[in-house]
Amino acid sequence: MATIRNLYTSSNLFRQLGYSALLIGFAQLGMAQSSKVWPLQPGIYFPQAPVPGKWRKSVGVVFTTTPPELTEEIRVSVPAIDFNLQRGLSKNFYLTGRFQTQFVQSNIGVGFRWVKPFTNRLFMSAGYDITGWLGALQIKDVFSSQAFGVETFPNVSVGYKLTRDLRFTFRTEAIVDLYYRSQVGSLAVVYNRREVNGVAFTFMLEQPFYHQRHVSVGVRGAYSNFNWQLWSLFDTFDRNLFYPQLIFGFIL
Amino acid sequence: MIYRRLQTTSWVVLLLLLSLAVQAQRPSSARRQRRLQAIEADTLTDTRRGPYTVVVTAGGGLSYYSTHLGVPAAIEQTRLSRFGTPSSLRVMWYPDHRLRVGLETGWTTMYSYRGQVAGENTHVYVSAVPILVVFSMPLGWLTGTDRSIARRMAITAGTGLYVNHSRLDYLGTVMTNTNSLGWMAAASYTYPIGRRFRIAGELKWFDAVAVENAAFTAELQLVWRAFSW
Amino acid sequence: MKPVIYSLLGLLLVASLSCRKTYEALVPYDFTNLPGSGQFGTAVRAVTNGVYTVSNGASEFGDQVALKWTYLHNGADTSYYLSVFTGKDAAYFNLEGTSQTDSLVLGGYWRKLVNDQIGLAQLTLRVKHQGKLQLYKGQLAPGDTMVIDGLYGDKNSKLSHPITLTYNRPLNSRPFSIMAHRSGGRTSDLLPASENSVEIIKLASRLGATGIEVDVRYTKDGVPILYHDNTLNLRLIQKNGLMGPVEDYTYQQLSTFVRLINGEKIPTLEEALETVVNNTALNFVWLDTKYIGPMDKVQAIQQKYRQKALQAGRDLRIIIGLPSTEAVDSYKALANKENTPILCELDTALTRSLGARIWAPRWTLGPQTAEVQAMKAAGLTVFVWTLDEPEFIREFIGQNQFDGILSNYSPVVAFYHYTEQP
Repeated sequence: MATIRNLYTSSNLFRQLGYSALLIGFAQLGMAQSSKVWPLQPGIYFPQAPVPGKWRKSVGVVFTTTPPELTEEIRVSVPAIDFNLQRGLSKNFYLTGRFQTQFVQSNIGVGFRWVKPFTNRLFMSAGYDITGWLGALQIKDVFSSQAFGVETFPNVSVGYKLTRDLRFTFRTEAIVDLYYRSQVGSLAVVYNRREVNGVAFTFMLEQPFYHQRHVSVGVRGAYSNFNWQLWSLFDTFDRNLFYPQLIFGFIL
Repeated sequence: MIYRRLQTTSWVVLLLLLSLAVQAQRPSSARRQRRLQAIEADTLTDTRRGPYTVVVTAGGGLSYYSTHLGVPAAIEQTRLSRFGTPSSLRVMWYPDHRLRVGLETGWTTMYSYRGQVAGENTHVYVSAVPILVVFSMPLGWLTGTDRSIARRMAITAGTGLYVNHSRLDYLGTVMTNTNSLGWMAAASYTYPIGRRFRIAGELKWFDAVAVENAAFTAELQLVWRAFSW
Repeated sequence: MKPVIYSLLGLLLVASLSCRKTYEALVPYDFTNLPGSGQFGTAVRAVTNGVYTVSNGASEFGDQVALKWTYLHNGADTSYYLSVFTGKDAAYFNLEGTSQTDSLVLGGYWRKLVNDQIGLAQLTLRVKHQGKLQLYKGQLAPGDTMVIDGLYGDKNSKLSHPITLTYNRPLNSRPFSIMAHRSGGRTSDLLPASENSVEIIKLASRLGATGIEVDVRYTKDGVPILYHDNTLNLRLIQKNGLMGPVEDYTYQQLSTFVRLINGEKIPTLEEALETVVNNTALNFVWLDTKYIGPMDKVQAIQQKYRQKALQAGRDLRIIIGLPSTEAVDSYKALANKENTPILCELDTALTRSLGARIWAPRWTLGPQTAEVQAMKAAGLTVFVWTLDEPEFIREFIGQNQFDGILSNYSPVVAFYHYTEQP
């Protein structure tokens, strides 16, 4: 029987990367600038409400990498078109809406955010989103299946204006399942269990990109039992699988 | 022993790059002047656009395979190498703000091992060609001058495909390629040497996730501001 | 402030993206695999098989379970194992008789396939005689009820939780094929042996299977082997630097350099069938055609092992599966195919035109009641694949239409089949 010689582990490298982040942090020492005025900039993730009565919109793409536990040797990054819509209701309260689609499967969500500014650079928000997803596949000799479900995402975001033009947001979400129904031919399965399905962490940078166009660029790591985009694989695991996502959006 | 020596070398290269930063001298550009005017006006919605620039970066250096590797137990008298000489080519679009986007490719050795099986020589060699979409940002943009370290240091991250190449020499030669999703993260320091040219030092982490190939590289790069409009 | 902020951000990002959890489920019990049945003779095994009601332990394993004995030949010796199939979280027990002489005691482990929960188990055979619980000594008087009780433990603890199983009724005896996908399950199911290995073929019966499906490919020098994926990859093999299609390597190269994820060699098709015939009680082997090209070598091996099984007095069906039009073409190109049993996964018209004996549609097409009934009326056997979702397994078995289910969760299929009441 063969033995594998583990001479070095990737955890060491991650530790080194952490140290690098520390070094970069210290390299910023002494570069502080005057922060008297922080202009309001468009942002979808940054926890700052739009001007009351105004809309904020974005269109972009989300790439989700499939976990090997489900797609085995086929490791792909699946794109979804991603629309966001937000409306300010008051200085610190706004509504959110999001629509993601891959045509054969789509997800629509609504929610709200309540914002608490701490300084002119540091903001926090608490929010609650509820989403419904739907998928349908009709392929000869392969699929005659549909599924839909409802999930909810209580979330907390911390936003920090790194400089005048660059805002960073860290968001933590709990992923809670409310309802799941799938159907193959005439047989259907319904799960009504209301339980925590996982958590997700988002790291997002928002800034001007070219001319007056602003963008959101970031990553989201979801650790969850179920991911709506992979409903057609009928995952049976009760394990939190890792779904890394790359998020890129143009703020309109 | 040799690994430790080369690790030391890469730290020396890093320190050299940092010392270059301290000595850097470069007059301010008109572009920076305009940006400062924008700050003074306290607005980032400057209606003027550009200039936009396409920047081509090419470089090479040293790589170290930085994750676990496996040598079959059947191999005797194993000689293992984690080092390689990577090269990279990057084409970036520098718009009129901090964020830059582009494509990167190149080639890097991952690892290789030699040995014997029942008196027969064996050799396995693994390398990878990244094809990545990359985003990059200088640490300083609205502040500092061209002399400051923050303006010259940039962090870069990318994701995409790695074409992993494997060559086996044992009772014949087998050469295969396997694609793997992966990512890259890098930190660089750029030093101006002319109107359109800069040199840069970059420390970079390549990670081809599905095949679990990861390498840490240190590269010296030539940066060419090819087009501007 | 700034360095602290950047440092925290960097550490958060690194922590978040480096926390991909690796699951494992190491079996905590060493099987003695003692030859012979010991105190668990034929009569004891016969009265132990059955559907049991769970009292203690129902929250963990459901309110009823199915118990079934299986065996494994090793040369002239035979070892016996008791499996417990449950309806919750794809849990099963693998047990063997211990050498205790004063009572009939079973030792082993339990496992939940949906996650990585695993632990030790030790059960004792008792009998409820005139309302009193006493040790079972091999005699069961009329009116007596078999009770199996004991303890089970968690991954990190010794035997600590009570479990009590009370005999309820015999196992459902309707003929039904429970086929283990890739000989037992996927790598991601964290079974003690790798998928498509000789070792997992020996485990298949203990997982509830009556048959297995294996994936057949050719090496560069034309040796049929068992391997599922298109390429050598770290899902299936230990890291060694070799990548790309398995068909690019000779058998000798694979044999020297490649070990499956749990350390086994990639088996040849002949080694796999030799194991099925000589060591197991399996009655069905589905040779899934993963290669593109001539089928004659696989056909010759199928015929050779069919004869070996007949000589050993075994009723073993070895079927070549046709999942694609390329595989159908390979089958059609065979010179002498009349006596080669095939299974077709494509549509009913093609299945009939090929003269296939088995039709096997995907489960994601649903029960397809009209088509299934038509094929059965035409004398075909109908299987469905690869069905793992426990609720759908229950519903498909409840439909009572199909002759078998191919699954990574053969313990779940076994549970719903054996506990079904006509």
